[in-house]
Amino acid sequence: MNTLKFLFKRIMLSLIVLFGLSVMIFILGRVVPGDPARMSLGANAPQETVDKMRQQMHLDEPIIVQYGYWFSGIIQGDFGKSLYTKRPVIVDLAEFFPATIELVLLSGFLMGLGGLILGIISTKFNNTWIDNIIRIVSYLGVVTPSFVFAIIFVLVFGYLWPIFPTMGRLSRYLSFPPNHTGLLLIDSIIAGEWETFWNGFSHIILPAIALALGGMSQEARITRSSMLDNMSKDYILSHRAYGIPERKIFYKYLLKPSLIPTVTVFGLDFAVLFGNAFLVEMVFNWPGLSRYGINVMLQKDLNAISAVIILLGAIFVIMNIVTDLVVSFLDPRIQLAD
Amino acid sequence: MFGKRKLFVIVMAIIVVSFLIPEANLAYARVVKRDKSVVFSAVWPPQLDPAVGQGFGSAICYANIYDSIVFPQSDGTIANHLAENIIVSTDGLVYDITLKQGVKFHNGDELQAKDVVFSMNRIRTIGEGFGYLFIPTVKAISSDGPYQVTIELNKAFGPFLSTLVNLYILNEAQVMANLDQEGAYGEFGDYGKGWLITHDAGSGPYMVSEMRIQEHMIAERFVDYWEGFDANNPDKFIFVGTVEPVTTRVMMGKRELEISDQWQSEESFAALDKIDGVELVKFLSGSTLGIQLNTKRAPTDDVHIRKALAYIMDYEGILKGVYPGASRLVSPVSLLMPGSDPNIVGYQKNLEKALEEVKLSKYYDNLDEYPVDVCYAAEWVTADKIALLFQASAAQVGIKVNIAKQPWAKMISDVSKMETTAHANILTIGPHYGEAGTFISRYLSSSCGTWEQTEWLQSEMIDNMINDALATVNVTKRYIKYTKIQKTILDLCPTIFLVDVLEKHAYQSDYLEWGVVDQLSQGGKAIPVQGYNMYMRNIKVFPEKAKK
Repeated sequence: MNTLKFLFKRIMLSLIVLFGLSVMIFILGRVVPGDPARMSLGANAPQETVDKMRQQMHLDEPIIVQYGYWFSGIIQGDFGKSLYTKRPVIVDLAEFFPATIELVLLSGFLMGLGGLILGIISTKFNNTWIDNIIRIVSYLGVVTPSFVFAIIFVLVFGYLWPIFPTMGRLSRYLSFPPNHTGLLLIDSIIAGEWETFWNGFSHIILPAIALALGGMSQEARITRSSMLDNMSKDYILSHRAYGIPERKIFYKYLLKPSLIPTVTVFGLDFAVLFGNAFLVEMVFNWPGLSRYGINVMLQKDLNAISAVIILLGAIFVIMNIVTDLVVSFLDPRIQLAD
Repeated sequence: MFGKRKLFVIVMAIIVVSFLIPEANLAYARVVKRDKSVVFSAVWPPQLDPAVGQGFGSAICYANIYDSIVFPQSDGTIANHLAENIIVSTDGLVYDITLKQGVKFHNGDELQAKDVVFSMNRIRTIGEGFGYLFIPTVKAISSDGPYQVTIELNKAFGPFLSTLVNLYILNEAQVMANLDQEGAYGEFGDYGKGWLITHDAGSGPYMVSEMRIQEHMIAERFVDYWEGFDANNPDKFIFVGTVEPVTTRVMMGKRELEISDQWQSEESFAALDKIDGVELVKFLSGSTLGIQLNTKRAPTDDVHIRKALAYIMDYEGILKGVYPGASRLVSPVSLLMPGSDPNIVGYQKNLEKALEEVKLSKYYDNLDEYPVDVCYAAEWVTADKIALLFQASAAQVGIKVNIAKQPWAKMISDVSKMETTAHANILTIGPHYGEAGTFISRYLSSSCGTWEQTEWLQSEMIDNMINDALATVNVTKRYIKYTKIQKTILDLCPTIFLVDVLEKHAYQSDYLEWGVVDQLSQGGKAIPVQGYNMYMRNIKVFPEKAKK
């Protein structure tokens, strides 16, 4: 099966998955007790006002009709209005999603690069003190939730040794650059505002590392074990017998196939970063989608909850497809059809 | 790729760079201006539209960004603010208000009677926020000339002036110029709701200069404010939307936060108190905490069971172990409220009386068959301890208590029907306006089905007494009636009154002078209206005194 066919098939399947997700989240949101209109307006709001809001949100209609309104809305890019911000949800997503994307992209970069380097070093110095240290640190990284790192970083680098800002995306004495991408660092480069870039970078570095450490440790462990596993394979022995230099064997013939499990896990870990970002964004007061997600869930803001979950679901689906493509590139023997 | 030597060099290089980056950052930190701004934290989001929001954060914004006809004072009284003069008809149905002249909106327009009419009509039409205060009471509002406003009421409502504190005046022309015609209000489009999410149309001492949702809201001094400023009033105030304890602690330590939110845990406040230059201030918030007993379900339908529970409750345990430093609530009304009666004693722990009441109960012979379910919102950690104390206390008189923690949304759903309302609900009730009537009126039958009255009292006698008191225009007579109602309610014992809730904040005492702290130090009270203790004109900042 060629790549285009594979892509078409996966996209079709993904749409079915997303449709299923939309039905599930819609029904779950509606069957959980509590009237969102009453919660939003308060105990004393006149019943007419509550009824009016219920009517506007179609909460007074059968659930299947509600779903119809909601689904036809999202097809047109209209997720309804948020009870939390009182704005169209699509406006909220457009504002908060880039902040999370920026954070997750940097985290993903640190996670992939760091995990790879640590894994390679660990393999290279297998069973030495260097390997042992990396393994111990990796275990700690895997078992420690991101928000714990976040709290530790805030205390250490924000309070005891206050060298990094710990709140928001940018210091308040600076203005945001003109919005081209929504990504502060990119926009400040485009605008040539280097002070803003540096300030933004110093704001993002702690949350990005806090978010990346768990996945980085995982990637390091998987890279190491995969490389050690492949090291004893016959094809490596035969390369050695042919007299191919050790360096070439290590980086060309050992590393590439060993990356397959790392890439697979990286794809999933990258998507998981969006979930882990929930608490990290809370700790660093990062105005992103994940923090928005928590707040709207606490307010039972149905439209916003559905939009956030659909968006995160779509990211998971896309990352799965990308991972499959990269794995097939690394090892052409793995057929996309499989 | 890596030899041990190369690896060592790389690691050392990383360490050196990691030291250089922070040094560069420290240089940035040094140039951060310590200006005369006040930064405070609260739960996000504040709504800038006075016809939409009513939470704590929103209330602070309204107090500072908008003006109202009257203004609450620290002694509980109401003073004219935008009003030059208010004449109330003898039957209490008509309020003739003469406005001050020369008051400017932030865009330079003069505030006139038509703006008051517009603001009242707008909040009543939208029906959100504080709209519930005006929808049932106001019959009509009209203007006569640029400075004369007449408000007609449907029926006499004694505390009406107190509610006018929450009528914030918007610039009609500015709002109308920013309508979204797609809205749900006919010719008024969206009534400016979309635009007011990030802008203001007020005349208050501060005006919104930046609103970044989920991040911060910045409001700067309105230099043409009609009441002027003290030289040391804040140049601007900044609302940050985080209540995360570690972040709060770090920001207070770095002098990046002047006033903390009130929702920190006791442990977090203790940690904040240890920061050099930071002190805690606590004052009655006006909110009350109690256990509301469902008077229509067995066994709490029996007044003797309710009284037994009230007599056996471990009040001391709550005040010492759960709310240290707080005061006991003995009646439905917080002592902060004008119209409260400090002479009311209420129920005190008394095992003998509790046993007597149980014996008088019709359930005495088969108490085992009637366990009491106590419910509270799962999101509220402190309520765990209260429920456990309630359970332990009730066990002393043989009443079995089952603890049922519920998500807030589920609890709201349950209390909407009498049959599904738990026997006991632990709830905090906040005031809607600065007078005792706000707490008493929650016992009206019309409040049943909301979390403001899970007692389902539905007493015609109480309804009549409350309606009579609220219709009394004479303040002294009204307060006397409030006292009588409180005593009657105590006799019916629908609620176990626990705590007169404190509002607690950490603040930078070495360079901030905060009006509410001065009032408390002189034996006074806080202002009994939400948001007004954070009125920035009552705060002075001396940045030069800030400790490095």
